[in-house]
Amino acid sequence: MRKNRSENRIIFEILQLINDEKCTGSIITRKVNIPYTKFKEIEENLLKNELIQAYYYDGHIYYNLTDKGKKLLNEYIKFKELMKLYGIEW
Amino acid sequence: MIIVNNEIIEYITIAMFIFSLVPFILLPLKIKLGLFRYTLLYIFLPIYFLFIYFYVTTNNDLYLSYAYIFETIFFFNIYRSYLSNELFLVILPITFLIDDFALMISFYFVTFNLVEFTKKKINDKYGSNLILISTVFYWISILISIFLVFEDITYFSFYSYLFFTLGTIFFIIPALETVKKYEKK
Repeated sequence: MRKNRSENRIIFEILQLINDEKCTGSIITRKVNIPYTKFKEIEENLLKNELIQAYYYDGHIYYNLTDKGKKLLNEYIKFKELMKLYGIEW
Repeated sequence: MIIVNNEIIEYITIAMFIFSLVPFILLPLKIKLGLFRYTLLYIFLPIYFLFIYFYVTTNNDLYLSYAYIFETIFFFNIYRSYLSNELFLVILPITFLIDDFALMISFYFVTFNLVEFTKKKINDKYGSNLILISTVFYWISILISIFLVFEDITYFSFYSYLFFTLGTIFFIIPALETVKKYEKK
């Protein structure tokens, strides 16, 4: 059974996915397993905080991580690795 | 049984107090995110050693009670991280009144932590070996404490303290390794 994820965790899963591959909103909702409305809410926040940027290509909206987004993701990965050493999932 | 001089315990306690403060100073320099979460892992250790130091220098049992309480809270915090369950939070105030109860609760938490960590290590293949060793040392420490309370009505034993100290060293090393790892990058 999958545990309920926190909002923060969902955000970092989205940032990780955007960092790993070129993705559209529908790819994100499918891979991160969240409803589209939830994605739009998070996307709005991420754009407002300049963590991601959106661009049009071939009729679709794609997302990229900004430098600020990359820094935040990097910090998250470090924190997650530390917690993993202690057997704590985050 | 070897009689250990109080002075030796004092020196060990001062050294451990300083050592348990190291993650607070070094980790925030390297990991900026989740400061509150990882600070909680370490914060109760220096407090525990501080109260042990007060106990050893003054021989006032009240300080030992506080040390046991912070020991229980330390194990409880890890238990909470594994289970995300606050059920035992309501029991914690009772440990202020009865030391034996604090030890029993600590024993429950540390046993749970040991089982849970071992399960994660085997099934999910994550977690440091040092933390496993540390949890085993903590478990032995609490077991010795409980045994001595029932056998001899002794609330502070050097052997139990020694195992707790060893457990703490192994508990802090992964944090230092993490700092070292990101120092290189």
